[in-house]
Amino acid sequence: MTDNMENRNDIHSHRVVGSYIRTFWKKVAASFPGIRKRRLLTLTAASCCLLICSACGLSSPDATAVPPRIALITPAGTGELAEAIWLGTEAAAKENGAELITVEAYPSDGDVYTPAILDSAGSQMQVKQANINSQTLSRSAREQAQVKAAASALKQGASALLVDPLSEKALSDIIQEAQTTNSDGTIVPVIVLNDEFPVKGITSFISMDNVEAGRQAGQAMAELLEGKGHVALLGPDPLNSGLIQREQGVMEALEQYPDIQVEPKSICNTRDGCWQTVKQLLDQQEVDGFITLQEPASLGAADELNRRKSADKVRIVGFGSEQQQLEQLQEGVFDHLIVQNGYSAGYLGLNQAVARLNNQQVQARVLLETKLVSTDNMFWMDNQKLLFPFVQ
Amino acid sequence: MGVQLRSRLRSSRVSSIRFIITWSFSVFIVLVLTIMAMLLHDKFTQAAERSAELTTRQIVDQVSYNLEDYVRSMSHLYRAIEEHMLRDGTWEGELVDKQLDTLLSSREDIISITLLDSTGKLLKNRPTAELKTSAHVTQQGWFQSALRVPDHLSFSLPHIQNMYTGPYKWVVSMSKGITIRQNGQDRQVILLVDINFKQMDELSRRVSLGQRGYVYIIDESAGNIVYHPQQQLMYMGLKSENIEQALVASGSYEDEADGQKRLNTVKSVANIGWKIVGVAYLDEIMTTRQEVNGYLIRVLVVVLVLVILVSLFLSSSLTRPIRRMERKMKAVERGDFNVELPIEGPLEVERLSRRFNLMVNKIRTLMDEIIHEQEQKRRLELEALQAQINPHFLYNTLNSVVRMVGMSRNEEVITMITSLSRLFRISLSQGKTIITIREELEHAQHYLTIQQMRFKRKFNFTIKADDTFLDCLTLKLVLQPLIENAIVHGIEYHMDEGSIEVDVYREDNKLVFRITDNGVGMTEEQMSGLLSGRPVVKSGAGSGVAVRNVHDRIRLYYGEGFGLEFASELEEGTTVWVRIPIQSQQKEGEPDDRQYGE
Repeated sequence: MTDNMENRNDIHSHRVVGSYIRTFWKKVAASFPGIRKRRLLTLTAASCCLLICSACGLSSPDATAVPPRIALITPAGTGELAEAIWLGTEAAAKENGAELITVEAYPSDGDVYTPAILDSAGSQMQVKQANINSQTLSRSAREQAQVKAAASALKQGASALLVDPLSEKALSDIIQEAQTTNSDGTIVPVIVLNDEFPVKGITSFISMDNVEAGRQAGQAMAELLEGKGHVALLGPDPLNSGLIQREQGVMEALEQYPDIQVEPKSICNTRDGCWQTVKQLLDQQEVDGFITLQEPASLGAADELNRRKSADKVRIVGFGSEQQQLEQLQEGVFDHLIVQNGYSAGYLGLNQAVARLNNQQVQARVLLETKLVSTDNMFWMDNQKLLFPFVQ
Repeated sequence: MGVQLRSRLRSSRVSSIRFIITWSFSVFIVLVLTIMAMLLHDKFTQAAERSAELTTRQIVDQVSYNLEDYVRSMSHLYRAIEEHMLRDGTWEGELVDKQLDTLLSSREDIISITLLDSTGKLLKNRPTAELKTSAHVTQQGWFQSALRVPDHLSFSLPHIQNMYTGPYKWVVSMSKGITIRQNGQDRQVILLVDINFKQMDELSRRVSLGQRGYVYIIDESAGNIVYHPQQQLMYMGLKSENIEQALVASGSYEDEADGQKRLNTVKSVANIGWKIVGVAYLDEIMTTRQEVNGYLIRVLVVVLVLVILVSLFLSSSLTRPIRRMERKMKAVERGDFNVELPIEGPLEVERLSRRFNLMVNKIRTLMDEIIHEQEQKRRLELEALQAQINPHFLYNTLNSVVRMVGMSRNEEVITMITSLSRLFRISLSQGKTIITIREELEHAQHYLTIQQMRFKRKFNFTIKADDTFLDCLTLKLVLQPLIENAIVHGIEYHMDEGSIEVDVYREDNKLVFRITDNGVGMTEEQMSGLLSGRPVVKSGAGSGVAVRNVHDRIRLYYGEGFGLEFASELEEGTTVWVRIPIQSQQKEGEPDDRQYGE
């Protein structure tokens, strides 16, 4: 019964309120003569909408642009260099608020450092291609894998590519991919690490000055030999201009010393091959110093010298900073190593990519400082940081 | 065009309600908002800065605490190792080995335990391994500091451990020069425990201070970088930290790097002599002043636009009825009193409208009253005039009658008296002011008859009128004063026999009475004087106002465009035209077939 009463009251009060509202509305409408009720309604609604919209627009801060997605095609370089490059790109990505994705073309040589902690800020994506044993991969297969990896990165929406190309052909293919498969009509910039190729369409080259590095190596060798002796060059088929330039630099430096005879360059592509080559060379003639133009050659030469226990007699100036090379350097098998600063390469490469994406000034060529480390100074604090870029 | 422009100019004049409302609203609201914004702005930014500072401080404190904790636990571990290894002055024995192995396996971040003598000779190590000669142990920092400060546990900076084969690892070396008694001799040994730096690295790396913030660690004694997430970059000279400032600072300070403001928070880590510096980018951890300013400006602009719109809408809806009122008032100004404002709009306007309507009504009634009064006045004047005229005329007429009686001209007496009575009957005409033309003409005829007799037939008269007009209406007593005028001024002093002709005819849509005499005529001056109401030099009896009175009455009654017109030539005569509108009688009067004229 009371319920009924209440209900009735409710209904009544609703009606009353309704009528109040109606009368109020009428009054309001009456106070704006010359405007029809409908128009008044629409006006009110419109102004409300405007207010709300503006308020919404104001309350949300400027929508931040989607962070650019930049792909690093790994491995960039070999083994630990590749890791250092990856660390550098990661640091730069975090700093610039970019998103770094890494696309693996093929497993890298040597121990791969995988960070224990994936930084949550810079989201990482490890995309594995078919996991093929790199040892069994022929060179052309690797090149194809690299081009595929680049294409895959572009499919994933990469707006810039960082790559250490295996060859000029691979790089051309990658650039073609970058220029054809882009979705929104903008050219995807390609940044080349550790290398230089005379290929059009490269946004930026990040590498050490190979001629200068060669000169440093030659100079160091000359000083080791005190200006006289036989020097042999060791290196692979020069597929890229970087190696040719290194050689050129070495020759330039050694030409200053008339008492140093430079043997014709020996070609060897793998550690074992180079080991054999060095063995033959040492068997056939007197060699006082080897200048090895990249990691496998360096390691091959060191293997032979270790075998002969004549490390103190024959000097080696090598290129690279692989763990084994560093061990040999500590032991004095190598006298000098020319070290590439992979971290800086990655860092600067990514910075260039971001600059290009933001339409800022981009350097077409970024030269990295080359570092010559020796047995004596390899554990200096600064050199430690260069040679051992990550904590494990 | 011009009118529009002018009205627009007028409507946008500074004093218009619309303008006042719009701008005062806008200015007031924006002013209030600005003041609020300013007040809030400072408070807000201060609070933001404080909270940002507090947050970074807390984070840095946390890192510091974690590191201290870690260092403390490592110190404990070192002491435990020392305890187990050198308790009995010897480090040989299976028990020691076992205990050390247990300790090693319990903590995975211990990389190696090494015991050396003061010459750098290896006494014992765990895990057992060959010492590299190329490591030059005696030249290492931890070795030298252990010798330099014996019995003090020192922590080295992170460095690469290069004593053993295997992968190079970043370690922090704990070393201490310990004097033990062996075989009755004091002997100094150095116990080195290398701990993996990874743990500390992770502790520091995990820290997030905004998107790009980080912590770095420096060594308090020399300001070396112990840990920096980008030490590679520092090494390459691509990045630098202001270590001097961090060294001397305590608490927080702001600095700038690459044009970006950063908040640095410093905290020392006990027991190890390190200092943690937390770097947070201000633009990330707090909304900067520019952002707040931009936001406020946007708010202000939007509000301003809204306010202007709303106040325009408001003011126009307020001023619309006022403008309508103005239009009506203009109409009133022009003399149209038949206006009425609709009672609507805002309350005040409603009231005003009501008042205005009342006022206009009042004016209307007053005007009506005035017109009425004027008419009354005129009627009274007229009546007074008639009352003035009639006795005079009566007196003259009666005088003539008496004369005629004296001369026994009974016939004429009868005619005269009859005419007189007729005359009076028509002039009274039951108080009506409007009579038919027929009556008016009859009146004139009787008057003329009487006057003819009085003036001993000094003149003749004819009255001509079309029958069609006889039933039309006219104001009464129009002709009599004019005829009187013609007789008294025109003919009385004329030598020859006079004649007076009265015609009624139609001219366009007007009815015209024409009274022509062949009297002495008038000068131009006299003629204009007749209608302007200046008293004319009178040449005989009569009011002198009569003619003017006729003219005024016609004008008053029928409006402009009607009235009298004179044409006169001296010694030739005068013609008067009386123009009135053609008005048919509403009711059919009785047909009167009487012929006028003789």
